[in-house]
Amino acid sequence: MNTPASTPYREPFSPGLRLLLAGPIIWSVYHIIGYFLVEIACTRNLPSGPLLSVTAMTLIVAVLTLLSLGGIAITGFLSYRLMRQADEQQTGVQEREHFLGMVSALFNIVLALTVLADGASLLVLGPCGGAI
Amino acid sequence: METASPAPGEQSVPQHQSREMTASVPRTVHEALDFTWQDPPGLIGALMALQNDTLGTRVMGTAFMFFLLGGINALLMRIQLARPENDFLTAQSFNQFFTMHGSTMMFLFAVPLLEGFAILLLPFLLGNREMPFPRLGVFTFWIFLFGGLLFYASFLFQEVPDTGWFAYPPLSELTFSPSLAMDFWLLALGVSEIGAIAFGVEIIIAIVNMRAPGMTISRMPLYAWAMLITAFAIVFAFTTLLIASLLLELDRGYGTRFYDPTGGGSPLLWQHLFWIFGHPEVYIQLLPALGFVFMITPVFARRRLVGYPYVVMALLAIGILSFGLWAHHMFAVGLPPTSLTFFAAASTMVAIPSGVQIIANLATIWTGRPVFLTPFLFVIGFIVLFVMGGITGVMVASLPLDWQVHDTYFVVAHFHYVLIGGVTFPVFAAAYYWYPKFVGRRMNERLGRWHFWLAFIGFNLAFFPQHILGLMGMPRRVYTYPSGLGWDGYNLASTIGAFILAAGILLFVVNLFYSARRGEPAGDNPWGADSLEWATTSPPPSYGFAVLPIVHTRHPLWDQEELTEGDPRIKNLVQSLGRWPLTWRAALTTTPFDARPVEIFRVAGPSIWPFIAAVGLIVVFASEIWRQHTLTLTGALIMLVAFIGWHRREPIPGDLEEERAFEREHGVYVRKRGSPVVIRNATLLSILIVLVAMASLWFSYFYIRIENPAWPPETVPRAAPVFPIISSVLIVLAAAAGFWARRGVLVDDNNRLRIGLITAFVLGLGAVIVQISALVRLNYGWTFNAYASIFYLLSGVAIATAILGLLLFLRVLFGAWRGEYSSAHFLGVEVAELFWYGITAGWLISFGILYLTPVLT
Repeated sequence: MNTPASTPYREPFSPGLRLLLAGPIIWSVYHIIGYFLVEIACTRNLPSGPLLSVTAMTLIVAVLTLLSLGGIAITGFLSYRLMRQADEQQTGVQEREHFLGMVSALFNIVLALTVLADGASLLVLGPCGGAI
Repeated sequence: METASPAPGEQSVPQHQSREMTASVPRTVHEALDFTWQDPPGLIGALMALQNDTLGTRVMGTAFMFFLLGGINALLMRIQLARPENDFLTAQSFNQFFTMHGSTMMFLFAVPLLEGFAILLLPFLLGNREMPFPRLGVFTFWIFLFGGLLFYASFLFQEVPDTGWFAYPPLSELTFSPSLAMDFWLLALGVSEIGAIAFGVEIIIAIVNMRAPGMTISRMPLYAWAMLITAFAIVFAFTTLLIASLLLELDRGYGTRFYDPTGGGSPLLWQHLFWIFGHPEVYIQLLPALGFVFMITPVFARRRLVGYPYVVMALLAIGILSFGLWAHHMFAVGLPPTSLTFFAAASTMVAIPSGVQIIANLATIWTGRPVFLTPFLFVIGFIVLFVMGGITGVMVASLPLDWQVHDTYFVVAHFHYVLIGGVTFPVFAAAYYWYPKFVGRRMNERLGRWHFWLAFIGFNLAFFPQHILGLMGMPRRVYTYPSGLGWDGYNLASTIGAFILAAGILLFVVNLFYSARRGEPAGDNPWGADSLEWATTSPPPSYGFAVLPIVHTRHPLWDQEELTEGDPRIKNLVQSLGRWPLTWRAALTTTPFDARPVEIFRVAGPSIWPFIAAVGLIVVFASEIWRQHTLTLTGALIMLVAFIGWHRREPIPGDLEEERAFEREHGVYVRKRGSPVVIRNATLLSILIVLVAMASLWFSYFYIRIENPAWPPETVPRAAPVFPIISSVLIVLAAAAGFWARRGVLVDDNNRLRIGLITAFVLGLGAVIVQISALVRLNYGWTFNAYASIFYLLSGVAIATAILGLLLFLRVLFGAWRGEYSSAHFLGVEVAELFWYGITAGWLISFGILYLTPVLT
């Protein structure tokens, strides 16, 4: 490519963006896998067996819930730390990372609540909600 | 926080800024810029017009025309329901009108209108000169218009769709809808869905890469944030809908079995795919509307918005969580209760970010000094109505209540509160707010107030009683009802309310035309607003900004004395850009986070080819309604020729030495053949769209698999994995060869580039041939059962995308032979390579799923 005498600014990748994306990705994976596992566990068309039993699937979803919560908690903490480390009053990278860290930390609180609410349904309703 | 702006309508503080911004630019320069940027004259010129303000206004005008048509459908339905046992409409025509009403409002009004607003506003709001792909914008406008007209042409052929805007199978399958009505629905709306995705891509790139210098990610106007999230949601949601529609059209026209339970398919698969689109669709409409509200509230409350980062978080949360709620439209179809609670939980949780939005608005108004002019009245109306719609939303997120009110008028009331209160009211607010900027005159305030109060009262009279009707058990989509059920009065009130609402909208139309001629001259900034579009004249010049602004705060017009002061290097750049180039349409790209200048690039100029391509596309889709395959191929050929013409290299005026001098002086690239930044990002988005389409098919595969006790079904032999293993190895090797070729061009080794490209092409072609031969060897067709249908389709899509990648390689190879590429110019090579990586990922996952998962289960 053409190179101007004075090299154009190249923007470093933002750690704040990485954190901002991590939480939703964890939640999306959890939500899709959790939904499919429950659907598989509670459908009557699948063969029964130790790996495909309703109890096993429920256990897997419960473990997934805990793992997702852990992931979101870590992401939230890292975002909060980023926010504290970056100085809002500065311009450029500092200002931007403070902002992204703050948005990500707040977002992870909402995501944690969502995963908690999802997972709680297993505890309250039990496997397949008593459907089978 | 102190008040930063004058009272709306009292003083036009920023007007001096627009003059100062351009004071250093001689008049002749303005004339030259105007000559370069304006749309061509005449009829042919009108077909090619691509200025963002022309295009945005056209899209909005067309969408508003469809809004009026959809509104007429609604009024006809309300007349029918005004009294019991009415015979104004037949059951059949009632079905047709509610289908046309819903489909029009969702596909032809709301999303296109909001995208049209974005096309119109974003370049001004972001402080740049144009959208990144004006020709794509032209193409998209025409396909939207043609698609909408084709949809309404169903009346001419007496093949009006009548299965509801959601078109559930089996009702929409060929057995129960044998006429062409469903084909009109699928194919005509399919065209406008493609348009929605194309606009989405353009909006994303404009916001990410075309902001004014200094408009960092934390200073972006909230409307830009809202549109960025919306555009990503459009890419994901509409692609999924396109795949769902493709499956249904294949079922109807070509005998596949995706939604046919007798062949192992499932009608519920449609519901899943449709609502994976359909629920985010609500937020795709809501988020831009929230963006309007967050631009208007601070101006009329005369203070900065409370909680900007919280609002950004809430916008993001709404956008992302909206994709996890789809099954809350399916609470009554018999999913396992635990699955349902997953979706109930997510549905309830979306109330949190929604609440944050409302609280931020209320806090801003509470702590401000509000001025209640028409745009702000509609914002207040939005808050009231959206809160009511939101509360009933939380109610229907609860399983027991939803089971009671499912498919009743309670749900109709709920979503109209959300969609009219939450979307249409902010749209009217935005229309009153930005009209002066683009027309140069304010809309009449008295007519505006009448419009607001008629709309507010009429709306509540029309839809509030429907909550009660729903709770009393009146089902939706019934064309009449017996008297004596206690429904009569509520229905009559609802009809009267609908007509009052319509009268309000009629006043708005009158006001639009009246004020264009007789409205009070607006000045540059009649509201004392804070965002960049108000720094231009009203109406703005065709090029937007002669000297691009430099942004230092979230409220540049309130906080900055000067819009052209800043880092000397950037200041020098924007000043120079005001004087050079004048003979080609130059815009600026900036970095995604910090908005630091990267390139001056040439935005494409007018061309007739996008229009011709749009004609070709509509011929393809229209002829498929009648299964006229020869005509379909003709349309495809027209498109192909048009695309070649569209991208043909054109002579560009300018002096190479001048360009180099500009680059040396300012440290930015000058790209007269288009922006690598923009094109690279467009390529990445194209790959994303392909992968989302494939992911929709992967989802379909697993869903059909769960619905079947044996996999593959006992009547189908398990496919041997030898062929996909060979083809996958070839695909990966082709990617490696492409990588090697690109490394070659970076060191100006043209031989290595050619050898690498030839190798990649041959290996890729080999993979395609191997996989096609695997399909040919199967002893069953795709109509055999749902397994066969998904097997063939997923394989076919992977092969088709690989063929597309091969064509790209071929084009690049042609360029390499002509010596087009060097270490200074290798964008084409990079695009082909990136696209092949995407294809490789899709290929490996698709064939992994098709051949390996049956073994695993």
